[in-house]
Amino acid sequence: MAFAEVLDQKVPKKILCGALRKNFLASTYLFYGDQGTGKWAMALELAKAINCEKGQREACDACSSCLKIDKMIHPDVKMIFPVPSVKSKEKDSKEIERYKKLKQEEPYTIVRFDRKVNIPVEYIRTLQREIHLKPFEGKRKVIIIAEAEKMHNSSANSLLKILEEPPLDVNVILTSNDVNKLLPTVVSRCQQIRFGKIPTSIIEEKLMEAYHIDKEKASYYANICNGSYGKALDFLRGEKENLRRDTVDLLGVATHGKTSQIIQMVNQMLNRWDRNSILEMFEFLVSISRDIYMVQEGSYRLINSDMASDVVKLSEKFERQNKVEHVFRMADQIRFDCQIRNASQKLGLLSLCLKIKELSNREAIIP
Amino acid sequence: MIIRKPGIYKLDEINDYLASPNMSNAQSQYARKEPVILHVDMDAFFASVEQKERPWLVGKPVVVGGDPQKRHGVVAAASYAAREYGIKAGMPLLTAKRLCPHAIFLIGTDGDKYEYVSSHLLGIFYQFTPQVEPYSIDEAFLDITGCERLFGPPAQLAKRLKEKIKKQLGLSCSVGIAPNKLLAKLASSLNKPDGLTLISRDKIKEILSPLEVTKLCGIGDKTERVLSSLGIHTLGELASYPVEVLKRKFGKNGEWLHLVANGIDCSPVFSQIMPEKSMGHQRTLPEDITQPEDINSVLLALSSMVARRLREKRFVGRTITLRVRYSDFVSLTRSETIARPTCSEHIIFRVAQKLGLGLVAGIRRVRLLGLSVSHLTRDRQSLQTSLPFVEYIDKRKRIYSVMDRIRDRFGEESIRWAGATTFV
Amino acid sequence: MKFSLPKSKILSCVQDVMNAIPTRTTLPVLSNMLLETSNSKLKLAATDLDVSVMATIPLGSTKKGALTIPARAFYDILRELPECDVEIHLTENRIELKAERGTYKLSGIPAEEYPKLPIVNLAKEIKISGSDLGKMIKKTIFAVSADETRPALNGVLWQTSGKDMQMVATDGHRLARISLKNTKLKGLHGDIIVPPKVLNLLIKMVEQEDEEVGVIFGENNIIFNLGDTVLASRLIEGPYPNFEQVIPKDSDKKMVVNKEFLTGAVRRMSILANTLTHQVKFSLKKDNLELSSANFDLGGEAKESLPCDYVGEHLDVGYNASYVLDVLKQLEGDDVVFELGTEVSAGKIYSMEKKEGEDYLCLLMPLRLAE
Repeated sequence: MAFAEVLDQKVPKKILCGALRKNFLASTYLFYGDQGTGKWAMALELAKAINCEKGQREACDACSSCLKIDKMIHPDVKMIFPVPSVKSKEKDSKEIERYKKLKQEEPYTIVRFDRKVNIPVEYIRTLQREIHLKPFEGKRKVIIIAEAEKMHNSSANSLLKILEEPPLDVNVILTSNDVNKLLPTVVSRCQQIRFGKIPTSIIEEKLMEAYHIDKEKASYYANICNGSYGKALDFLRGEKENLRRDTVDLLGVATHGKTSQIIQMVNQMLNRWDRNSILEMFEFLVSISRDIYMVQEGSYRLINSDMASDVVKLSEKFERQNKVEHVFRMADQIRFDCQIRNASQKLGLLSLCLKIKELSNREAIIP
Repeated sequence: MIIRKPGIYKLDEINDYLASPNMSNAQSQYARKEPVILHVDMDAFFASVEQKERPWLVGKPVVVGGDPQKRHGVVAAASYAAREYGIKAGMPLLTAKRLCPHAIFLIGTDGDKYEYVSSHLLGIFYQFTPQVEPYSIDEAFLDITGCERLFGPPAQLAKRLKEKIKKQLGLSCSVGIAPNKLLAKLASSLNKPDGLTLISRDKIKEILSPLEVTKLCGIGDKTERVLSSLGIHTLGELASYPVEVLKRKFGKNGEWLHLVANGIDCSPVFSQIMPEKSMGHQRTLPEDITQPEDINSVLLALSSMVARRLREKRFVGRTITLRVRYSDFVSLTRSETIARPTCSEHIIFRVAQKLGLGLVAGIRRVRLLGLSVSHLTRDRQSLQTSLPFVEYIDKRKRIYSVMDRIRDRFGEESIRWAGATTFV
Repeated sequence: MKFSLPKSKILSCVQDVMNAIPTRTTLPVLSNMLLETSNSKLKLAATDLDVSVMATIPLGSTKKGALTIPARAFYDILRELPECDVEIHLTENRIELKAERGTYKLSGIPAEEYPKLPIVNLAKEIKISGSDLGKMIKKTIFAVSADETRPALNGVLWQTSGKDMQMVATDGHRLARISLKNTKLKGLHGDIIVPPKVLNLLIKMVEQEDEEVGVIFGENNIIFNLGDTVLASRLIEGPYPNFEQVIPKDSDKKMVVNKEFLTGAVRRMSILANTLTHQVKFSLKKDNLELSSANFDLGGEAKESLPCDYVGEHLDVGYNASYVLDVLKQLEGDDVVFELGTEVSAGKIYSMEKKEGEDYLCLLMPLRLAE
């Protein structure tokens, strides 16, 4: 699919193409940025460009090397990603196959597991031996480690040994959604490339082209995905509908219900959804409160346009705009605290809901 | 040498111990013979050693303390003349000075001297029995079960022991004789200085009952506070207190309290050299510190000390434990286990530094830092020498070995890492 | 395409190729075996990305075609078949075996998805005597390191210069070096590091047939051509450490001792040696070698005296008994020479007998005698 197929990301493309042109690739790259912004797709493209048999500075997408990398079966392009830690090796490889299949069908897919995942130290240890073997069939060996922040200390330390003195014919590409969780000693040994949010218009276009949906729908998904094509796909596949529904319900209880009901609802949410989903729930809360604000301002250009009626109902519960603004700010802050500063999600969600209760116009429901 | 408090054995542990095959043999041996344990405690050890060295101090109030400038400003030992003024070991030097302004205050920095006397003492103990467990620098337990044929009854043996110490070292000591370590230690403390106390089995109850609970080794202030809230003040009260209530209050320790109050203690005298389980160092800092740089510099110094000791004994360890005491005397420990056993100060330091980040937020003032390495195994690699490949020279290892050699020759403080503090 | 072959003939090839099927892999296609027909030949191949094994069977004319099929199942079916002619039918995505009464079908993965196997370029092939090669490998491979932190030592260094060649292996504690002069190499210069896996496989296969082996030194791989079977392996990245510098110069402390006597004695010592270090102590006095070992856990001690030729100063030195035995096993002749330095420097061990054009040498680092 070549670099042109990677959505937006002009700066990373420019850096990488420049390096390829001058034959001046860094031995280790760290691609970091939000989920679903194209880090994996770019890593694949880079691996293809490095090994393409045509020898152009870009993948030809026709030679056997490019095809094998696309199918993730190139013997010299190692791909490592986090898998749920399981005892049996059989299951392990099943999960790997699943990950590969999903990523192969659509590199922007955000792969989720129902259990905690990590990059086992054995993977990195076998790497240590393999990278010192000469390439099997390609020009150079490429190692792609996805979601590198999911490495334990021991894995990261083993990786460090590789990064300290990599053989000359190896390129390592790490991708990470959360660069803060990586060992600083690993980060400092990489050339870091930031992947920003993809512009809404580009996502919209791509969705229409790739999934043949009408403009209205595409624009709706593009708006709520927060610059992540991967998340837009989640919405498109309806994977997030339940979570959004629950979020709106939670807001309903927070504005209407008694404290005891709120606590019960929050507990329910925490039981039903995993950590990552709760983080996304905060994001929804931010986007919905933004919509409420818009409604109060008299505008109907909503992000959550499919939930317009709910939003209008909710907007009646807040009498003055600055109260909604308060909710908006607080939701964003708590999301940040939970994600970066390891705050308790339970406390965060609860205190947010209680604050909403305090700010919402309770009298309005009594008549 | 492993030193365990007498009587800190939990009931389970005792049962396990008694059930172990080698113990059942020992039991059958002892079944015929009542165990006889001796506890020897030197009288005002540090002060007496100083008095011995400077005879003009004899009979005068002498107080040996730590260096107040380094905040080790507590009384390590006080001569009996000084004790008459109410000076006790462990009390701040300033208080001591107030109690007895004309006392002679000495700074006990000469550790080697005390060590020397202590090892000499040990030599004397070994003349009576090989079953000696050194408990601290001036205390030891001796198992003299079955020594009657050689030295006569226990009291006579104790007398000869005291005489020998007096003659050879010019120091006096207090000896306690009892059927177990717990009571022996109690006995030696009942009659000081220069005492000899025997607690026979039939007198146990009589002697223990009226005593305050803190008299027993292992019951500290904290336990005492809880006990007095239950209305327990003497060992007699503790002994008759329902054990279930104690268990609820103290958990497993409740059982132990019940046992010791009744004078029961099955801990053996650890005479043989036990394999070491951990190695560590800790230091009270000359002043409280808060800055990460200062803390790191202390940690580096401690890492270096610990690593040197590991190398000296040819051990490598996997678990690194950091201990912090803040200025409010709250202590915390954190530890991490690493994949490969090590004796490298750099690796130990790197882990310690990471552990330190969690404990020292830059707000709380740190008073004491300690570092230890456990999970020890013999370092086999250091025995197998390696071919001198230039490519594989481990520069750090070479530095360590050179530093170790310099320290062997010129002393511990002769060389240190530039980033490490010095404790001199 | 279709062809028919006797069962035993395919099976023996498949057996060889099975050696390269990995037990566990992240690339599913690697548990398959590649079947390829072209130029009236059937090629069977497998690789675990370290070692590749390729076998060819001549066929009557047949169409070109290729497919990878599950190796284990294919092998098991063949093994269970009675001796008969097997008709094989390869289609685009499945294989069909027809034997006497039955048909067996297996579906495969397209050959394009299989890793590209090294190309055997006969023009670059050099012939080396199989027995020479086997000897060199056996005498060095035991010293290869398994420590992954020093990747270059995980293989045997193979140096060629003009007509001479040399193999070296070391794990940092011991080293083995063998050089042969006047081999059939012609003007080839180069250093490569070969993983032990392919070498072990090679000696296993060469032993049966004492013949010449074709070797092709590639940039990234090495290929051994055994006629019907071809072995290939990826090479390890260099550079290899400069081993010459660690070989001590001549020493005056030279001991000559009977190999059989010494081997027996060291074996007996090792029974009562410390189970962790396997330490056996060599005490050298004039014309007398005393060996001793002790195991304090067992409460065991052993001591033995051997006559030897030794004139240097008294010297005590400790060695790992199994390291000593590894070396003694490879030395030829009746007497062995130990050239020693100090109790912590390398001991040089070689056979008293010199063979024309061959030079074999082992180094052994001592165990510290402390404690």
